[in-house]
Amino acid sequence: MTQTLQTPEEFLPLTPAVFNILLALADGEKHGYGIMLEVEANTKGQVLMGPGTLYGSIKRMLQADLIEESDERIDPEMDDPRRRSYYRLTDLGRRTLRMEAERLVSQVQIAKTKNILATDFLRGVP
Amino acid sequence: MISQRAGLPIVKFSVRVYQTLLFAYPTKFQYEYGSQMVQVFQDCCLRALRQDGTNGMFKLWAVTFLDLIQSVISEHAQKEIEMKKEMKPEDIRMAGWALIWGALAFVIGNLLLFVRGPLWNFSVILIVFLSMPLLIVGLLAVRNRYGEKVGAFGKNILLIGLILGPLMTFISLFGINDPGRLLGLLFIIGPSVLFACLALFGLVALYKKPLPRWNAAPLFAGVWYPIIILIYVVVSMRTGFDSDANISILGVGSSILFPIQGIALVAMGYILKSDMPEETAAPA
Repeated sequence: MTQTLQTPEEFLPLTPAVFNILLALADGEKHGYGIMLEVEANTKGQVLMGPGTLYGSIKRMLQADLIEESDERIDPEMDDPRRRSYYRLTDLGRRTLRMEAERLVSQVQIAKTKNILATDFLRGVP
Repeated sequence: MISQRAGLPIVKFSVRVYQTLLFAYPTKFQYEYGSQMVQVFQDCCLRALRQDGTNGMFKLWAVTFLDLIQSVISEHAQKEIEMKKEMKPEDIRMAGWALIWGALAFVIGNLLLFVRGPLWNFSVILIVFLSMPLLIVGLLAVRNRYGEKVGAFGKNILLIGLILGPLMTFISLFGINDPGRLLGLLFIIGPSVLFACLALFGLVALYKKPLPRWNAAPLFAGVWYPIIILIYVVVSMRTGFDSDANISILGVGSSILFPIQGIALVAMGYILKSDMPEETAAPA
């Protein structure tokens, strides 16, 4: 029986929720609430993720091996004695995030070559 | 400070309500992520309260409620996809047999029920504890196997019937000795709801033709029982539950139409158990 390894290309393009969670975990492991705060800050409040969407995405990302659970511990920065599950990127998750970021950069490059970011564009000047 | 605020009544109440709403998610998802979701929701409550007071709580609930609806639908859809992947040929065959035995138990149970002999209690056990679970397993497999081809309406209506029908039948056990009262009537209304929903599924199946053969079977398997019971209840309201008219309605129903319904259910079970997925069908 052969087992096929998944490649980052299979996941592209990522959904906004998955992309933002991967981005939040890019600089180190975080727990669910930490991810939620980071996503909100990174998107200037444009992406508000509730617990359902957050953990639904986390579940699917764990299944797809994009992230993994590191351990369960108390967050010293929060005055809450309960333990929290921390998540971190896997190698596949890291490569997928990189490829998605490159894909988005190339899209922005196209936008730039078409002068979409120039001031005249909104005035309808070609 | 945070742990003190966590004891505030509005936070405690919100967390309690959210915890209750989590029952809408599939059980496995609740078990794996429920406690973490409650913890995150509590953190959100504390932040909303700190930043914006009661208004903040209202905004949080608006966002959370939308998130809940969206994610509950998404998780159930995901669960259905996983179930479909997990359904092996042996499961389909077993579900087909469950439908066949469930149909036989249902017809025999009803014949004994309406004869009103000394086997009355046995018929109740046969219908509620044997035929209902078997029919649920069989019809869930029918929905699973052919639901995609029948479409959203057929799939959803059958699911509603599979939840409401058995639930009403089970509740009726608390008033089974008084068939004239609503609780007692649920004993016959429960299966009617289940079979009416199956008949609607069958009506759609007549057009969409999802089964490999005998596409009228779901309609015939569902339509008779609700019709007989509807006539029985309407006539009973005018003439009383033990009138001659009623006894003849039940006589016709139990001796002719219920067996027809049973044959149609057995046919569905036979189709199901012999209709293996192509990629996993055993070589001839």
